[in-house]
Amino acid sequence: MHSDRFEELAALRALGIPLGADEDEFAQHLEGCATCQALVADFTDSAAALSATATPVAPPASLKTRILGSLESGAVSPRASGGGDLSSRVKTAEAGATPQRSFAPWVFAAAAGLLLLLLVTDDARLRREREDLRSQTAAFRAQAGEGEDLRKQAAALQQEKANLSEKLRAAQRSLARRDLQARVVESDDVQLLFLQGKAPQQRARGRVFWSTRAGRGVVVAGNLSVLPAGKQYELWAFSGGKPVPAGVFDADTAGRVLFESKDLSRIGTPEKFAVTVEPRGGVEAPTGPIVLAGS
Amino acid sequence: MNLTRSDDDRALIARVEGREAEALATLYDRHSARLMGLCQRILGDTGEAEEVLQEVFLWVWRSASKFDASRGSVLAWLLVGTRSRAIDRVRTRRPGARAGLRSVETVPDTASGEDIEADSASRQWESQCRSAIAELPEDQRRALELAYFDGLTHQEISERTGTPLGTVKTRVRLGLMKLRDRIQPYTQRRPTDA
Ligand SMILES: [Zn+2]
Repeated sequence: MHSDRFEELAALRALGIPLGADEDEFAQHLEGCATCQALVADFTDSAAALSATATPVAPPASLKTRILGSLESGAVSPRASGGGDLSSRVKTAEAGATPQRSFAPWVFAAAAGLLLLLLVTDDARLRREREDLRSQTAAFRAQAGEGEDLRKQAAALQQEKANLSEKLRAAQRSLARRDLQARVVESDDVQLLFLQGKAPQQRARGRVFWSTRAGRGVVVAGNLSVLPAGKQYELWAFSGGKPVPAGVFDADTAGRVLFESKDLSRIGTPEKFAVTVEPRGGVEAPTGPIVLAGS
Repeated sequence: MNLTRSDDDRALIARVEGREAEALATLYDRHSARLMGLCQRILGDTGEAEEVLQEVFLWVWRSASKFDASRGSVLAWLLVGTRSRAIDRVRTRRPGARAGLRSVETVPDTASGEDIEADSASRQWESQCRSAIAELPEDQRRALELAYFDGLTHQEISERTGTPLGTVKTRVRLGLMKLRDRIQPYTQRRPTDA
């Protein structure tokens, strides 16, 4: 689950601040955490809002002529043709990915996604893609490090490196998303349940995807309230009419949740699910108000 | 959000991908003033801002195919690309070498100049962003501005403001969360997803 620390790292990453000693750990975490990926994307957009406080300045007319002139002189075309193949391959890799900026579209796309996920078998291809990009990035880095005299060339390499990192991150995001979905969804017994909000959180909505065979489930929810520090949401799976605890989670500040329950293996065939508010850490039997329920 | 206008930007990007220089020129007319303003805010009123702007539009020309519409608007993409290039230059400068940087306090509150092309959608976006930023607690806003415009790391912000490192990280996190929560409804430009 999400600690403030990961949120802080996501914020620093979105601002382009080097993470120092935390760099590797966060990169690794990010790869498997859809919540943090969404957070970095959201924070990047939020940071762009700061640009609005900069006063627009009309550039000199000569600049436009210069830019358009350099296109016609063909200054950029060799690079464009050189990068074409890679860029189209990465584009293909991203093509099947669902948007991850916010969960709301994801939630609605998820049901349709279940069918599309028959296509998820290309994880291996994505992994290869990622390795490719990694080694290319490393190659560019090595080239750049050899002390290239021409400033222009160094800048071009730097640019290419940035482009590659960008593609690498996109491929990683799409991998992580597929991993999570695949774990639950690749089982052919996956089921989908809709959860309705209960007063006072009647606006809350959720979905549970679960596979009895895999003993796993994923909860996607939105419009939940952020709870006081001592409280947490707890998922309950009903079996034989009795609620069995299936894990605790928090909503992010926008009220969204993407939570994978690893506890469903203990529960035979869940008849229905509910979410209650409980003391942080969870309890063995529900004590708090029901906020989401469905069967 | 003016969907027509924002879709318009996307159509332009698609045409740039098809090597239409005219489409790049239109994007330039539409957004160069805002991007130039951002460059000058970061780099000061120097020739470097023009160099960065040139780099950005050449990058757009080469990399239009990389624009991912699911991740936001064309303007946001341009701003992120411009800011990172400008910050890269700031970071390679020697400390203190910055020329002509305007402090936050002296920057006018509103966009000026009738000659600057700003369509209603981007003006709307701008005023939403400005009011969200104005509502931030002063210390959070300051920390974000030092990171965003001055390219300072969290350690540097901590030294510059005499604030413990942990506090700086918290301010940055809380500030971005507040901006995200306020601005998000306006950046969800894809109602067809729902
Ligand atoms: Zn995470």
